[in-house]
Amino acid sequence: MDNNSTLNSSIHITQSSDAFYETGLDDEFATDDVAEMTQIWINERNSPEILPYRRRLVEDLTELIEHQGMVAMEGLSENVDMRFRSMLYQTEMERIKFLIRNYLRTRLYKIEKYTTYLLNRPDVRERLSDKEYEYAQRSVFEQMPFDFHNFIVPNLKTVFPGNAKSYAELLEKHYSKSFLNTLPQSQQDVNEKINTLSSVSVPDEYSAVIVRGKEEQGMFELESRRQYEIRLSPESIYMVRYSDIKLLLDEGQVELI
Amino acid sequence: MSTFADNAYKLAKEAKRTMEILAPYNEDLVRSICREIRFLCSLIDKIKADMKSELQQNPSAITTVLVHHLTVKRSKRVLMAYHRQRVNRVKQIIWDQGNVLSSDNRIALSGPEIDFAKDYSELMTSYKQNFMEIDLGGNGGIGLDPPDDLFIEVRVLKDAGEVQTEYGVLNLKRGSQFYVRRTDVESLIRSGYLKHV
Repeated sequence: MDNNSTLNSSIHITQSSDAFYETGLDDEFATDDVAEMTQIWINERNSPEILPYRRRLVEDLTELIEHQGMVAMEGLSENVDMRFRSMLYQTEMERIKFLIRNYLRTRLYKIEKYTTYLLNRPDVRERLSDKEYEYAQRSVFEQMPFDFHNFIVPNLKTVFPGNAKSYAELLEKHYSKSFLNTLPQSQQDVNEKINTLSSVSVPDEYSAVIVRGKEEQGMFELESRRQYEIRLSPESIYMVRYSDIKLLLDEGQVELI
Repeated sequence: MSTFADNAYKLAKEAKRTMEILAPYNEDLVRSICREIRFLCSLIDKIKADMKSELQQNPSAITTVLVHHLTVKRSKRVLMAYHRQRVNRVKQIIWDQGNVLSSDNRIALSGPEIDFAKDYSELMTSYKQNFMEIDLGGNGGIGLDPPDDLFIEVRVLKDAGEVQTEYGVLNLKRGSQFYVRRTDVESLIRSGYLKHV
């Protein structure tokens, strides 16, 4: 029965059952992770801009899934009861995988949509994971082992085997090959601004989000409309401008729904 | 002579019309818009060179330059939008159907677009390798739909030989039916070997 205890302490099969959630479970840790991941994923899906990457959470859950996968496989050969259990665990694993997959893909979508904006804003760039940053733009100078004492610049080909390029490079190359390089020199810039029209896509901070307080926090004044206040509590749900609750979301006081 | 940016307008309309599908790349139109931009830019340069310092005093010349300049910017914007929309479409195809572009799609794409598709699928694959356990999908693999049943009933439409799964070997012979784990056969369903029943 040693197997069972490991199974129970890792991932609960009750994620979809709200009642079970609230009645408290013997192992808070893992269940919290899944619940947190679910909320992080919902936030990411609903927020117009990219949110800080939750590396620890993703890594923990990935590790758990890996572990769980092995345990579930062991259960296969055993009796019918164990097989049934194993199936439940696998179903749950698929669900968690879906969460993480969708979370990462949502982020990729935003990265591709706002590449230039993300890369030009150091504060926003920080929210990307290392891999995501690499995906958006491979920075030659940050990754190159540069020997300052002897001034040896390594051959780029040996530093970057293969020719996987970053998304920003790909896009620029594509535009250039498709039409930009046939235009006069003065018109070859990819990112330009004419009056109020910019060719760089920027997330719309004024778009509406639906928000709910996490705890009883009292009243909160909206920045865009000073005379309005919203009540932060798990019972009140509001539709507000994203820019108004941006800070609250960052501090984890509210959640998007 | 047609009005300036006429072709750009045509291209913009075409982009709007073909929002949902991958239409053949309109190389002629793109080229003629580029030609117009080059022509207008040379006009602007010529006016500027001829007038030099007098430009400021000549309202008619300055207006000409302004109108030409706006036309150039407008056309360029349309070109950017047209290409971006197509790029998004290409990316979607790569995620949904895989990097092996079907011949239908291949005809519709321009040379640079085919290169882009190839490079993009490489980029995507190298990012995906960071998350082997999760399997981010793409290349015709698992989609973004939430998981349904763990096991599904599938019918074999085309012979696919033997397939190794964690539950043993499946001999996929046409017409036979199996009860298998969804994740094991996802890609076979998408490529048309199996059918979910």
